[in-house]
Amino acid sequence: MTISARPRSPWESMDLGFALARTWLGRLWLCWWLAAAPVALLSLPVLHQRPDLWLLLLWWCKPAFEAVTLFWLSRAVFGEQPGLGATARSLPQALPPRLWPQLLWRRIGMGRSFSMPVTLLEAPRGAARRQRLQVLGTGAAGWLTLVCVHLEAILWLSGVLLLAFLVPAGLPAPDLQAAFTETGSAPYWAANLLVVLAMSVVAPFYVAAGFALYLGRRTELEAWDLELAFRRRHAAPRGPRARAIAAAMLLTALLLPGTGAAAAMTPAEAKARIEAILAQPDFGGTREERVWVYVGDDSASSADDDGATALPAWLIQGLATLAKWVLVIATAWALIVLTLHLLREFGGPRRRGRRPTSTGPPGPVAQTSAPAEPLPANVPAAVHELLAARDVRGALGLLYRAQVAQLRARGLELADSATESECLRAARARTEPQALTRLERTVRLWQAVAYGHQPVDTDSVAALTRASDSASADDGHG
Amino acid sequence: MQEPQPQPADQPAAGAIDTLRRFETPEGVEIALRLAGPVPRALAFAIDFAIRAGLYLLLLPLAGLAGVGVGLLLLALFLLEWLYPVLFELRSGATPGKRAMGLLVVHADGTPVGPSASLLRNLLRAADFLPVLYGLGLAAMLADRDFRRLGDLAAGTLVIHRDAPPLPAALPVHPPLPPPAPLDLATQQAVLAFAERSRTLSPARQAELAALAGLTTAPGADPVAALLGIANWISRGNTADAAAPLPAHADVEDPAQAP
Repeated sequence: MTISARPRSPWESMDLGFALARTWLGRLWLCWWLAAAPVALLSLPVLHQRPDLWLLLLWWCKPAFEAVTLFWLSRAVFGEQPGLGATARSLPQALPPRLWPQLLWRRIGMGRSFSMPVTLLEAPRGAARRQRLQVLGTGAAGWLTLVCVHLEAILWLSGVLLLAFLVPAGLPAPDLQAAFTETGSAPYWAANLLVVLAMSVVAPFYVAAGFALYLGRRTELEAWDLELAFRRRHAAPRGPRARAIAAAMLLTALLLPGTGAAAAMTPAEAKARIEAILAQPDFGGTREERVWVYVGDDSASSADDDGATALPAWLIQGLATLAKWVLVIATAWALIVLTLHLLREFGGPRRRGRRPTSTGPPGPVAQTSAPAEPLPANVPAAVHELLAARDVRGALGLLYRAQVAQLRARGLELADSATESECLRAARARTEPQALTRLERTVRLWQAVAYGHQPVDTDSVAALTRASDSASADDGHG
Repeated sequence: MQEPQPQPADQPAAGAIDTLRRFETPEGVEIALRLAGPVPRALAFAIDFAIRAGLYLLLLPLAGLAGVGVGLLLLALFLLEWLYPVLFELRSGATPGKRAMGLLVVHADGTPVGPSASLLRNLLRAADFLPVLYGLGLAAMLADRDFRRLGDLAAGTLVIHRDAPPLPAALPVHPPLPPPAPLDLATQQAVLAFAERSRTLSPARQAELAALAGLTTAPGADPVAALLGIANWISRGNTADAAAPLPAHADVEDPAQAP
């Protein structure tokens, strides 16, 4: 099986036919001539006066010529490609008696390319044939015939005109009018021969496209491709011997030249041969490169150039002076900018450090980690004082610091840089729930005040202080 | 040694003659372009030619005016003759005739045709037209394995069938059945295709094909039902392959196996 069978649209089937014909064009063309040449040559003695009738005869017999092409093609599609001699011997098989209707009363018809495979390959008779064709339907075969007639005409006209165009100017110009009208003249014969040539070239494509249409229709209606696939599967396990033989042949073909060549060569010979092959231009070689090389100052020519493009000396002087001062000023400016930048960079941290203390409220960093401010001895009293002074932020900060100090006193490792959440997380692991809720509420309020700048009423802070009182009292008791 | 048949280099290993050109995208997706041959393209040209002839007929009254009318007519003729295909190919990839025939112009790698390629392939119509009525273009198309005329060869374009092949029909629902023996890939595909296309086949033909497949599990069972059952079994991702599945494939299909 040399084609890939799958469901296709009729147009694609035709394209497959054209691809088939292109693959085997030479063989198919010869097959056409195998039947056409005897007819053409044998009829010449009778019809040499009437080339138009000779051409009509050849045209009329086209189904017979195409039958041979179809015979060869139908075998080639299934992997068997008979030679020219074998095809000639099987001509009686390729031209069976049931071809006669095609040459007589069925000669004029648009669906020939499609009905020929049915008639010749399936060989149904009479009503069965009619019914079969009705079931299959000719599909797009009519379009195929129409297009191929035009392709034939185009190829023929192109051939005639190409020959006429290519006659050199010195020779007498070919008589194109005679080629089309004057029966029996030499140009007419030439044009007729070109018609036959065009017929023979288009015929393989026409036959193959019709055959592909037929196969496509059977694939569509009868799942012919699936039948092939199932048959192949069926055949494969049953023919182990055939497969073995094929594999052996393939192997011999694959191995013989290689092993023979390798055995006949000694390492030295092989090395010499490898070197000879490597010396071929495909494997490296010389490469030409062009580069510019300084060959010294050609004073004469440069003087000439100066003379040719000389500008006034004062202009050049002025431009040079201008450029020099522009450069000096730019350098000085760049130096000044750099110095200012460096000064700002070094003076920066000091100024930045001063600014918050002077303008804004104390930052959380200073609040939580300032070791300079010791905790007051009586924290609740200090908080109440701050609350009375309406310093909620200070009061909360103090509360928070006191609790952190308590945590530390209980042995919790807290880094100076620990944030509120980190303190809370560390406390969660080690503290009893009651103290934890107090810490949580303190932190929440402190965060709201310190970071969220939200107003917090003094009562909730006072409540925290009371809880703190009781807690410190518990501590005192414990 | 016999010369092998000229086969396209990028055909699958089987080397079967086909009108497909396959490309693999960087993502590993294989796409197949279905090349269009001379017959549909000739018909598409005929349709386009009829459209242009109709336009010329409409423009003919211009010639009744004096010199200006003739000048305008000539301009319109020039623009229609040279830019009609380019305009449509850049707009939608196909002239009206090509669209009617379900054709599409694309770059050789399957991407939509661009301005330079479209201009080039249509300017070279002049070369394809020689000596008369696209004789050279026809000869090139018949000889080239991708059915390219000279303009297509120069511009690196292909004319392909646009209409997608009909989607495979849903499998007839059937209780899944494991096949009696491991199946090779071609047979698995054939079994699935049989199930998909079984509705278009006559019951007698179905029975014939199923008997030919010979995949009945139990003696006396309905071969068609057995085949449909196997198709359902395969379509659920069961590999009936005789060869061991690829490891990468197994990873994708069965995440539980992945480490």
